[in-house]
Amino acid sequence: MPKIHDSGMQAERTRLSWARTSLALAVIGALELHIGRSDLAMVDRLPGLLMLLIAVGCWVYGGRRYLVVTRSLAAGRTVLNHRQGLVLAGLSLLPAAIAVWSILV
Amino acid sequence: MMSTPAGPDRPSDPGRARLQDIGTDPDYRFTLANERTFLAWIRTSLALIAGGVAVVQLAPALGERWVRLVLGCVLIALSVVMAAASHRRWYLNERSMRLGEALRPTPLTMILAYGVAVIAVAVFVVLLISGG
Repeated sequence: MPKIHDSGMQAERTRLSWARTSLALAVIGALELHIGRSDLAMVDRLPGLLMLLIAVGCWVYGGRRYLVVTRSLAAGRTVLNHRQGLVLAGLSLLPAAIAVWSILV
Repeated sequence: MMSTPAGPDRPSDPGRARLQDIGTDPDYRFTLANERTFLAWIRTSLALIAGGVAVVQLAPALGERWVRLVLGCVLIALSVVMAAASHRRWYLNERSMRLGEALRPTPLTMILAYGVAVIAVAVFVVLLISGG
């Protein structure tokens, strides 16, 4: 049996937290797609599509982060990612910017 | 646990250095807990965004479009404040942990509580006026 380096399942809980955030983004994306309206042009659906894209990106980043964290723990390296500040800043501001675009459409 | 000392090639000046070059690595559990706390604040911010979008697009009975737009924009503005503040808090917490300092208190909970209360009162007033 391989040794578990992550007591308390911290990496797994963090991965699930990324997954929940991704799902929340997807719900907003669906809302912004104006589901149920067939009279809208493609450009009106762009904010929703962008938000869904961010949701997918968030899901993928969370999965990659889980792998990086578990490998770093096994190797005794730091779990802090050098690009993390940028990723988290984007996650902080992009959804709101897209939402403003969406309600003004 | 996983201590990385600050040496000549790892400056400890928190003003200019990259986060991973400041101080020493804390217990990885604290770093991940800080990340999860940030994500929890972001989800709270996303809930406000969802409310803002829903008010504009899914609640025509609430009132005129401009009234719903104002409400939606206020909700989204509150979400921007929350998201930006939570990013800053994530950074400051990580830095404090790396420097072995105490974590600073946050005004985020107060901003959220009073912000939501003000918006709830505004929605109540709009409902009263529109007769909904």
